[in-house]
Amino acid sequence: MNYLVTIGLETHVQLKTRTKIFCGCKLEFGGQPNSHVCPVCLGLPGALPVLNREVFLLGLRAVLALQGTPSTVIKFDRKNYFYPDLPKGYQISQYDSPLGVGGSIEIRSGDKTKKNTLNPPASGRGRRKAHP
Amino acid sequence: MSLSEKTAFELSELYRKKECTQEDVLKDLGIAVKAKDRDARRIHAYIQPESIRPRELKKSAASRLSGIPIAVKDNICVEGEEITCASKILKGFISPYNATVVQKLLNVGAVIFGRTNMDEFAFGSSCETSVYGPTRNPRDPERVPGGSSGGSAASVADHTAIAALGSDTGGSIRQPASFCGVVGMKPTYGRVSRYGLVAFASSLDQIGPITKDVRDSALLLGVIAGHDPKDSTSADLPVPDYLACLGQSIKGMKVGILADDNKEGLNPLVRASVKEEAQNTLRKLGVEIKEISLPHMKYAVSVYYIVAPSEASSNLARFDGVRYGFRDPKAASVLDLYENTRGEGFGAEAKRRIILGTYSLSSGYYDAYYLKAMKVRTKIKQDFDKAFKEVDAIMMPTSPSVAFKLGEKTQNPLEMYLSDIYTISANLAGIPAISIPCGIDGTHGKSLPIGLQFLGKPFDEGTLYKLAHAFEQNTDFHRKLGNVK
Amino acid sequence: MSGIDLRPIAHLARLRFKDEELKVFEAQVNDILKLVNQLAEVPVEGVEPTSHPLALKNVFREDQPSPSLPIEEFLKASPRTRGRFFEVPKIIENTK
Repeated sequence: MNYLVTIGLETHVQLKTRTKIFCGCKLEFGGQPNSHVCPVCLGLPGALPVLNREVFLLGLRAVLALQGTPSTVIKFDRKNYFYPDLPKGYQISQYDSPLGVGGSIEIRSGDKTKKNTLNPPASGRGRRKAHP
Repeated sequence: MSLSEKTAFELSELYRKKECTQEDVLKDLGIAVKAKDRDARRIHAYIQPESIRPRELKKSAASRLSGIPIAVKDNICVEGEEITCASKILKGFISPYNATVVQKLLNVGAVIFGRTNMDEFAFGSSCETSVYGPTRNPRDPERVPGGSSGGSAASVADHTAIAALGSDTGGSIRQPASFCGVVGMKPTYGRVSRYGLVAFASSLDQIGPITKDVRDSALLLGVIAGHDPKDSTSADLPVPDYLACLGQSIKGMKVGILADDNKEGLNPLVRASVKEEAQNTLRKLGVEIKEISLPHMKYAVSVYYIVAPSEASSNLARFDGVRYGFRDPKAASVLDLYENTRGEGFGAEAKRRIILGTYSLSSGYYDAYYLKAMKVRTKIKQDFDKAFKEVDAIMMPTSPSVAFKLGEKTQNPLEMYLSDIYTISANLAGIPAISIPCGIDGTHGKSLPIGLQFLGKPFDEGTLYKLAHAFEQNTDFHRKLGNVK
Repeated sequence: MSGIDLRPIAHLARLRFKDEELKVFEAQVNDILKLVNQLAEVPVEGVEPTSHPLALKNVFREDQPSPSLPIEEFLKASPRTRGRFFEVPKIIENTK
């Protein structure tokens, strides 16, 4: 029997900001664990997130660089689950109104070029209208 | 007369005239607490005597609140203090930071005077679910003070606090104010910062003042209100001078009353005080009473008991024993850690709400429950938008009853939930609402206060203060109830 | 409506219940759900959901560091720590 190996790469790209996405703690790759923490990112009772403007701008730049379509309305949702490295018991994420949709990335290997499309519009993501 | 029986405004005048000092006030308040909070009446408005550690940062001559002690509900973070939300699961948690409202009070030189008892995590309308035991109503210690800010309301009514902060998600400032016969204001959503308020329902919660009279309420709200960059749901709008709204004529104002309100279970004395006497008082002051309709108000309790527990189930997920509070020391696996810690750390009402919320949000039920409730919420809000085109404010009872007896509703959560019928809509629509005393029920051998509620347009607390102050000055219930001597 | 089984919900919420406790809860939750089912009769075609009563948009903070406290201040609150870390039971089970 012949097998065709298919390898998927889930890629997380960190945005090059000075501070975290929802609080003013510094980013420092290679820094000591737990050296930049605050009530917000530790999920202390009463703490609240505020979105970093630079995250929004760099994210938008990425959407455009990938030739995607920026959404006119974006929102954040909570993805609730329990894990010890998840202080609030939810991740602030984007469910159905992301920053952008579509776009593609070209990968070259030797003399072969493959175009991978991202979030193809047919999947319906980004179509659902956000509510206030 | 003890200085503990003064209002904040009265004390500020005494300070100005140098007729007393801050130390005198703290001394009298301390005596009052010792004598009244833990005696045979067992009012128990404060969590424990040790929670009373007066602390202030800097004196400021500029504010009337300088040197005034303010009691704070146990769900508002005070740096260096144990904050537990009256729950076992937060026992031992010392907050490393101040809530924004606390910082604002400290910045004007107010004194944070101790933590008041509450329903666990603000889930409740009677202050009976606290891990520390219930608070009792100073008007009749066999009865509840209301909830969830029962301790804050009881301490103000009992003169063991000059003024207090509470929080309101479905009525938790207004209903205890009504049961204890004091003034409770729930500001417009976004008027006061929620940073440092332990979240119950993020789209409904607001911190607000509980005071002996309307003037103190205006004074306190003026200090704690305002935009906060740490709370992205706080409104970037200037704070009006609420004190300047008092004493103005209310002639020509239009106040709406509900046309379709024939609720069974509405205490006849409440009905008489609110629907007959209060309306007559307002008419004599030149107010035009107009019938309005809020057709979706009858769904408010259902919407609330899906939306609020859903948000709460998510907000309480952080209480897992990992970083603070109670942890089951025997847990051998992470699953045990979570299940045992949360199973043991939360009380029955907290568990009930988390379960309700988790159910409403779970896959397969989200559309029918949470999403549907959010859409009906829009209709409730639209009803108010429409009504406020015709009137400046709306009046209705705060609660269908006067304070009920301890233990009377604990076996039937549904009955407890249904008693929130008049307060819940204001939270769902995000509008401001104030409760003030408007009558006394003497039929049970005690003087049980009756509360009147005014609801206003978003960010129009000024109109509510104008109305409430005029009503108060013309009916004198704040004196009849002994709030102001 | 028939009674609901709360055990999967309890697991989702990481809450442990005794069996008798769960039975009482199931009855109470059933009653509450009967009440909220009245929402089914409300027509909502074309109605946008309200998740926030104050429709604020584009609230950001600038990408500037703000001072905070060292981890030791936060570790003080924790039931169990090891060095600079919050300690929990191991996650990865030995599979057999």
